[in-house]
Amino acid sequence: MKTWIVLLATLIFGFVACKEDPENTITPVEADNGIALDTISYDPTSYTIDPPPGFPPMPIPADNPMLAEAVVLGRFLFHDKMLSKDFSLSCEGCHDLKKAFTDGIPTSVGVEGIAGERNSMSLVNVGYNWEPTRQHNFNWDGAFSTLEQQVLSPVRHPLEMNVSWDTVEVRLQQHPHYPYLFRKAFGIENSKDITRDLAAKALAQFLRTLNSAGSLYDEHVHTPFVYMDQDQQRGFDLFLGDALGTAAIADAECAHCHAFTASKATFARNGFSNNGLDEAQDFADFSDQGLGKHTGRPSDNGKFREVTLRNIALTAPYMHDGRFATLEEVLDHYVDHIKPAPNLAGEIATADELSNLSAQDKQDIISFLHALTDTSYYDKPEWQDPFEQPEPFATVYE
Amino acid sequence: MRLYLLATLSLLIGFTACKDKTPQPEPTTTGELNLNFKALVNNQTLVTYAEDYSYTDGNTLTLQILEFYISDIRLVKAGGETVQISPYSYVNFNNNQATAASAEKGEDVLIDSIPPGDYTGIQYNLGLTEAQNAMEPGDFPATSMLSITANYWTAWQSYIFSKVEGYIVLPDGSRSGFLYHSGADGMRQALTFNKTISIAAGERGNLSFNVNAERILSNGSTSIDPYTEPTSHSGNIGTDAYKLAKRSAINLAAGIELND
Repeated sequence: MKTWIVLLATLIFGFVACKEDPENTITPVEADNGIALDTISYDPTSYTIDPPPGFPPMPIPADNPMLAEAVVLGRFLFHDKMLSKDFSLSCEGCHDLKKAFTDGIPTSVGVEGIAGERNSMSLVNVGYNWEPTRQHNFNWDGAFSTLEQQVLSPVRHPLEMNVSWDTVEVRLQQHPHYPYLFRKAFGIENSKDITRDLAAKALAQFLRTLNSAGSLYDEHVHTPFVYMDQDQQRGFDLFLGDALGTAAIADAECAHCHAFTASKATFARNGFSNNGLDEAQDFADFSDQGLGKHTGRPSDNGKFREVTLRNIALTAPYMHDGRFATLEEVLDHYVDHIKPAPNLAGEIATADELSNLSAQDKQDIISFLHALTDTSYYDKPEWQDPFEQPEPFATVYE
Repeated sequence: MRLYLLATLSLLIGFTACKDKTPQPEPTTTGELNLNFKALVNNQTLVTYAEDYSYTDGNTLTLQILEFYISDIRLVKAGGETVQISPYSYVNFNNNQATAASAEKGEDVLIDSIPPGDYTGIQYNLGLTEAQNAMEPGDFPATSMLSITANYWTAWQSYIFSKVEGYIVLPDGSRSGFLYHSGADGMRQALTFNKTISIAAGERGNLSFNVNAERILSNGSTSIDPYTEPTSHSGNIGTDAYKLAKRSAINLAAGIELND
């Protein structure tokens, strides 16, 4: 009888003595089975993207709804060099906030100084590049349909961050803080549940928040008594072309491919075309197939993305291979150096007025392009690198 | 004992006699209609970017882009009353780029939820209605063909109703390009095709249209000379620029025919 009482008392004492873990403490179960996270609360907060002036609501994929906690996680992942082979390079390394999220060099450089093949693309308003009904939406060559697919690529690309996602998943799972962040964002119950797909979702959500339209042009349109100067206005007229309702003697009509409307001021047609960079007698002549590599259609060879001209003055050098150092070189190309090809964009092939542009015309167009520069987001705290803080993860537990 | 057996048997019969309570789908009360558009040049299937088609002067004609909006798609009843079956759609022969075999399929516009019945014809616009054209891409969700910025021309404050782009290959091998974009209210072309069309509930009908692309350049009094008039521009009503853009729309519409 006494033995049973002692045993029972021991059991009771054992239960009572177990402290309830504080909500934010990760309790190891067994190292091989990951870390249990179910004691951490999961109460995600919906995140609403406010479109910038002149932009419509952003299309959001149904399988990756915006959540505040996922945006926070994505911000950390974007700036974390742990997503590269040798811990030397983060996404931010090729997408510098103060260069409109580009890197200022002709083609990006990966880990260990590996030379890349493509110019870094701006990420401002990148979420608006997604057309749900289209297969080719992201990268210079339209390699990816969704942002979630695109963000997986640089990590594993041998010329970029050059590390397998298998390795990155383990790093994240064993990290002292990421399991908490993934729990808060996606409700996973064990650190072993951290996957590349969840990381991609978080990264994509963060990228969808990088929206801004605070240029002088935007103020000219939306803010009373703020105007572009005379040169910029004249450049805008040349950019738009036929602005007065009649065919102009000299106009650039850049807006055919860098299109905009009052309610969708992206300054990008969001398509792909051959803008006459390289001469080709037939479709097999293109050394860089561009879009054609992914569609399998030879007539798509040599076609590249028509990029937004927002912040274009910040994103030198230009074109998919960074061949043009300045906007002046770009304008000179369009006026005097278009190369023939069987799929040269019709807007360029039939634009006889381009050759009539004077030096002053070109300079005015460039003045207008500078009016599309927006630096209003430079100090946005939610876009800054959290790893510049002494304790970067301290705020996530608040 | 017998009573228990009888009760058990009764219960078993009762359970097996229970009707299946799985909800049955509602019977379909509407039909579907597929509009298939096939692009041709001189009765040959159009393969875009192919330099295989003859132009009237003996040079070869290539079409790179051929696409257009159709709107206010209606079926016509015997008494003349019409039923709108779709507010708009977009026909784009971008998929014609690979081979004649892929181009043979044409481009499909599938319309559902059509009231069953017998109809005497179909009508639609080449281009958009004034009400649709008063909107802008930002007014539509990203899944809509009216949300595409590339299909809107700010200088016109209008959608681009039709795009035709290509070139003539000259004897010296050089290319003489042409580009015709139509748009702006007043360029919409109303089309009517007479044919008995029967729509049955739960079934899909098919109408086959040819788009005879050579008519864009060669269409009698509204023909366009691609050498002297290579590009349409915007322009106020009455200007030559406006007229050229409108002729391209007139000619493209004239080239659309419904097969028997």
